[in-house]
Amino acid sequence: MTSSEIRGRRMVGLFLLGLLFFNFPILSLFDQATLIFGIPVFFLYLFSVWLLFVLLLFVISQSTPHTQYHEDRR
Amino acid sequence: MLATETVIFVSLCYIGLLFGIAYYGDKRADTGRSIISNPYIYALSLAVYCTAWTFYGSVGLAASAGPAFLTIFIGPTLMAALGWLVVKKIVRISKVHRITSIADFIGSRYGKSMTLGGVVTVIAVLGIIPYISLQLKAISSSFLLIKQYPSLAPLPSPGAIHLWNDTTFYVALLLALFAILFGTRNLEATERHEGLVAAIAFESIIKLVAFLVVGIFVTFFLFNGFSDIGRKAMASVELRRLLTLNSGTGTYASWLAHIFLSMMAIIFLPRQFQVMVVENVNEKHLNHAIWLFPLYLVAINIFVLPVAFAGLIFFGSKGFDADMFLLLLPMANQQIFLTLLVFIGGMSAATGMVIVETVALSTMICNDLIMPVLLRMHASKLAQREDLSSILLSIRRLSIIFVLLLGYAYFHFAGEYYTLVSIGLVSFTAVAQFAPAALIGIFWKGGTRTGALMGLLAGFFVWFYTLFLPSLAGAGLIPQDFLEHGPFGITFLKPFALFGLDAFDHITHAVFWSMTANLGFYIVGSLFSRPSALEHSQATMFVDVYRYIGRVHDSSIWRGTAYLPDLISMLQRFIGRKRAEAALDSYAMQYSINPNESLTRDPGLVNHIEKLLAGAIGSASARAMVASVVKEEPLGIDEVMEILNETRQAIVYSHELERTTAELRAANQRLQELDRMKDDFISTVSHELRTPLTAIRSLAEILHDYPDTPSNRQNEFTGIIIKETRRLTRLITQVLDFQKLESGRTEWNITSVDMKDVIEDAVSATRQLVDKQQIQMQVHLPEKSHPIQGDRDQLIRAMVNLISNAVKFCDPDRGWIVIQLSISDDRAVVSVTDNGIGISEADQKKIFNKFQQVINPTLGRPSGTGLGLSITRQIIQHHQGRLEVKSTRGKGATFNFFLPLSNFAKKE
Repeated sequence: MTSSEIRGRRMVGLFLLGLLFFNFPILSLFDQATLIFGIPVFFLYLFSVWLLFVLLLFVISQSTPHTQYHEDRR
Repeated sequence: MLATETVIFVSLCYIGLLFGIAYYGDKRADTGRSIISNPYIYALSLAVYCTAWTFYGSVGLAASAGPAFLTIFIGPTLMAALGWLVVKKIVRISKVHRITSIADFIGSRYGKSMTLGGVVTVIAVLGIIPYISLQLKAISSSFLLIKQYPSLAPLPSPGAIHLWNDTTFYVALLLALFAILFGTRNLEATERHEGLVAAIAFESIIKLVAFLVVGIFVTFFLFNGFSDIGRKAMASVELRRLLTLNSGTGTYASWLAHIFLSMMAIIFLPRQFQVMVVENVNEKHLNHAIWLFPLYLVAINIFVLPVAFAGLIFFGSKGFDADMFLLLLPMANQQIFLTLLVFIGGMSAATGMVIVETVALSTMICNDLIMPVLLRMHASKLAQREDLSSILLSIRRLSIIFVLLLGYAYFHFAGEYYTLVSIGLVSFTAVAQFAPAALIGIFWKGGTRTGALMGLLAGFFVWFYTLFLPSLAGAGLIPQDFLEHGPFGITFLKPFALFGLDAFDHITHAVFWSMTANLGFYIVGSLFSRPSALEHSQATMFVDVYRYIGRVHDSSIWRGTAYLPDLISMLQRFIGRKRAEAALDSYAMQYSINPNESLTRDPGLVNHIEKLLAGAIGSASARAMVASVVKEEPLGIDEVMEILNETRQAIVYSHELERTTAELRAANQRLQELDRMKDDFISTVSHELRTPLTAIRSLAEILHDYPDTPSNRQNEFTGIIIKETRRLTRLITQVLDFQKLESGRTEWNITSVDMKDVIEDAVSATRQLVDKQQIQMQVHLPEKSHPIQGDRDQLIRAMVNLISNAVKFCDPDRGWIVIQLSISDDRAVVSVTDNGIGISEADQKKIFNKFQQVINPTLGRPSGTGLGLSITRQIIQHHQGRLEVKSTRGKGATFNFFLPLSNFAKKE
């Protein structure tokens, strides 16, 4: 498996994670009109997840996965 | 007071600056030192996604529906993660096939289909027109507003204004001029526009900076930071509503639908395809754009909600257009500089979108709509024209004007019906129709042209019916009745509640039905139609693009005759003499053809020329153009046979591979077996060697340490030592013999031998051994002698081995051995029978293998090396004979061997 393929798989994983956190029903947990530090909780949640997502995009896209298999040596 | 002249002057300065950047970018590209060849410019150019809709419309949406505006940016963020898989593949395919637009991409995937390319173009143009009208609206509204500075009077409705007094009309014309100057400035009709991309990237910076600066001004200067706005919003019942999604029926459904739409839009909007795929300089830039672009989206959205709330709090319910809050807030606070900055930012967003979009659409209209028709009707006339690139450019320029005028018309007649945001979503829904054909098409070879065409048409029809027609009805162009009661009063077909489905908002409703129809027809159509050969090969080259790198030129399914100068002159007319020559030279270099020799018109070259043309006029047109020059012949029986033959050879080859693999695997297993046997052998032999050695050594030590041992004891000891050393010698001889036999180094001394003599010699050699064990031995020999060809000594050894083997396993008390020689037709049969423990059936198969020993359950491990029978068999086999065993467990064993009689004996 090439490093590009490994990265591709991680990206798909990240995408699925994003789909989960940006959608019903998790979204509904934060869908309430309250403030945290004066910031609406729904927006605080969305922007935090969003930034975290971008950070992970950065980490995965810049990582260089090891492509060599670890050999079992007797 | 802000004079109209000032606004126009600032705008013109800004446009001038853009031209400067574009000019510089093009100049650098010509000298080969591209300024856009870095991931940051690439990511910024992707931000052409953020249009006036983002700049003004997001605030408007946030002010009316709260968080919903974010979906349009979350979708592309999610898509960035899939970009690694999807976008990279699309970019690679487009580079390999010189794809110039999304229409070209889909057409090319399904067998370079002109029809598909045309359909995609029509959908794209109709779908994008509302979106362009939205930009026109934004620019003209902002211009009219800023003209009144510092007054904040509401704007008149556009429908009420006469054409010649309508600013929007002039904005449209001006934008058409920009697009023509930017996108079709060069005489060369190529699809890459480095200068344009540089200018777009610059515009992305400007709109971001403008938004951030005003956002900071509003949040931290008009208010006391985020929390101040947040608390004030909480205090108002109206605004509290906007802090949540107000989860009702279908809210989350439309949330998801909007995310889906924007995910598709980021790839399939013609302008996104243009900057992301066509203008991509280096695939590696994607690595950075994947996170830079989403980061840009986060940044430009941070202040949307604060500005929206600030506007609502500041203006209260005075009826101002929330879409223009970003401009109105600085104006109301007498900030001339900020007002101008916002105006320029908004203009950046709108012009960037319009320019790239119209350039992309004009390419599609030219390459996939007009050229195919022209080629079909006047192919021969076109081929005679000297300079075709000027025709191409004219077509494109006219297309740009056409598209912008359509946009204006839509704005003028129907623009009032939808809000800013839903106009954009109408366009998104239209381009989402490309998703099944394009996305599934690059992963699934089974998708066919028929399926793609059916899917696209079905999805497009549903879109047209559920979104586009209603907007015309809303504008009064067709009866309003159509919306409320359905066509001809059939409520079942109401465009906003098709088949009675009214759980969703209009957009989600349209997305659901159009995608269902599109996907359904695509898949069913693909499953029930058969692709042509060209479709099949294109599908393979798209899906397996990574596998065919560097091999695309050898498509063998082509045959035709072409007059090479015709081909080359055609190429020159389309892409210019200089570029054509350079391209052909590099082709000659790549395949190491001497450029002085004329290029032969092999299929590879024709293919290459077609690709070069595709870069200028699209793949379907290029194919038609080449076909008009090349006299393509139907595949003859010979070619078909050749192709079949190649296929057959490939299959044979793969079978061979399989067989070789199997053989290797067997050999490997055999080697492992041998290795194991060798280990066994060494442990057996060393055990056998150690036993006598230990005895010899201990006896010798006794003799050495105790010289005064009685002499009879000494004799006894030395006797044992001698016996043991003999045994050792025998053992070693046997091992060596075996080694020799195995490796085929034994010297065979073949003479005429009488088996009778052999048996008698062997019997006398083993007599001592037999007598010692008190075994009765009977020998039955025929009277007549029967000579065979063989090595006397070796045969004796074989006999001795068999006899001593029989002795070893004989009944210990009343043992007997029978040796018999008999002669059948042409062979001598020798049998050695004993009454020993016998050999079980399982062991019978193994005893002839070297180092295999039958473990005697009572006596334990037998003596000997386990080589005896193996050696015997080797000897017999060397004489073209056969050695076999018959035995029942506990009832003794008979070893038979058969030797062919020599020819001489047979004659007797």
